[in-house]
Amino acid sequence: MSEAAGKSYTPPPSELGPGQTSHTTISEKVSSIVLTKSTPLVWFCSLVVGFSLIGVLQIAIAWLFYEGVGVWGLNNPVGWGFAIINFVWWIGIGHAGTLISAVLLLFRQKWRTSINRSAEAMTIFAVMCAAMFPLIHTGRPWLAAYWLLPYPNSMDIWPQFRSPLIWDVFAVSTYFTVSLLFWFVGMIPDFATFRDRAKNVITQKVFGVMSMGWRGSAIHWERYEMASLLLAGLATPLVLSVHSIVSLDFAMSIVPGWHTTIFPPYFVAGAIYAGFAMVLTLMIPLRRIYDLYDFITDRHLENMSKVMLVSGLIVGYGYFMEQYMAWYSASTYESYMIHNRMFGPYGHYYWTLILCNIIVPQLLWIKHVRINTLVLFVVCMFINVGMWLERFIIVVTSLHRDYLPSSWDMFHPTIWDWATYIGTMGLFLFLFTLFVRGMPLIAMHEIRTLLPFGKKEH
Amino acid sequence: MNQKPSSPWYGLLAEFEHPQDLLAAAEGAYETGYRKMDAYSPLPIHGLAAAVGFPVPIFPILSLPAVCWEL
Repeated sequence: MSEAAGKSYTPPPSELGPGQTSHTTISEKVSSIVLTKSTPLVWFCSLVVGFSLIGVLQIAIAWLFYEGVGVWGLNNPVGWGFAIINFVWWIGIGHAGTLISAVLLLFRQKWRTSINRSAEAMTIFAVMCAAMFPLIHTGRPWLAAYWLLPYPNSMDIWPQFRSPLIWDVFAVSTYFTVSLLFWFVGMIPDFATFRDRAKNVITQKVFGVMSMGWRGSAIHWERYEMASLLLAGLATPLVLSVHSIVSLDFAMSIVPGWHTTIFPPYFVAGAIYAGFAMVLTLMIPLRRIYDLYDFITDRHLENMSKVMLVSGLIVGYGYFMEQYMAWYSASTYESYMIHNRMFGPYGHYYWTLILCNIIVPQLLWIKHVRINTLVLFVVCMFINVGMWLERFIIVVTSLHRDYLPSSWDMFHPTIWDWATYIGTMGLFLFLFTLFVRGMPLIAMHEIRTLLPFGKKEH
Repeated sequence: MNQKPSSPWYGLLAEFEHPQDLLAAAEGAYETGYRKMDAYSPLPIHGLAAAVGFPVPIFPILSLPAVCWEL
């Protein structure tokens, strides 16, 4: 790191809390979460809740595969329901992790180091939840290889390459691969720290295999830094491209309310908005349970709140632009769509969305709110709900009343829609809980570079 | 670091408090003529690999013409 050469380097005061003064305190604090026999009770509660909801997910999926997609509330005009809503919601959540780990790395934002690991884990698990929906919405996922992938076969069945849905398959699988590699490569030096600190032989062996022979040699670091930089370079365009392509699922069609050019930037801003809200939703309890106040400081909460505020305003601009274009286009169908969205049968969803995504987050202008964890947590919950409602509004209100009034119908989600959605939340919670207990939650080797070297103690 | 097999020394180890000291020692040892060296650290230290004399990686140099060929 460049700071090593300059002797006068002192980090900004609030990058780390006052308790972290040496390499030893950092390694001890982070390892103590994993290399210990005592596990907090709340960890078990979280695991049980997550695991139970996975059971719900399994039942919902089993019933879906047995009976077909008719168990969901889909009907003729609303052919896309919860599957696409939840897919977009989960994919959007993943974006904050990539933004924190890749974009902020390239911008040399040092404060990202204590939250990037867990945010990347969040990305991986959110993309896993998201990727499940395109698979199961086919109803017959064992045939999905023909429908989703260009698999050469004697029947000459190929996916439709002009459809943005097949672009999605490539965008999301690329995104998952790069995110997974980035996450794993970043953990190798920390796995080595765990290997060296572990008392138990099995733990030593497991982390020994996962650290892939890491010794901390100068050449290792040289290669490691180059690899992270390259992966960050690969991941950065993905922050923008993945959700742009997701938005093209809608924008490429000619359905009123979907066929707009603002969708890609508006979706990307929404993704970052939802993602940061989810990062905070996870970090606020986590730093309390594991006493990580020295790593996840008030400055982190403030910075993330500011990112949410900015991206939330862009999302608000998107809402305004939709209304403006409905009027400016002078298209009957567009203006009816907006009128129906605001005052039609789903109007209360729309106004709840405005409350959750536009009105409540304005509290983030106030510094006391940005550093008051309880209020901030509540605001993040509003945004999590609001971003889900946004996708619900976009999908359902455009489809349920389109060009032909004779084909209008209402969409009513069934219990299986909700069970699948809640079930993926359980899967996410379960995976994240396992991650917290078994993997380095905080990038120790990156935190070490934040220390002022002159003040190092042993 | 020994070049003669008859020497009783197999190698030398030294521990440093600060990254700057390690970097300076590595540079000094390289200048003195030592080549079979390595340096270990718990955090990345910029320029350390070059200081202990690790060669410039060959893969990026090879991949540049390959990329140009593809274009």
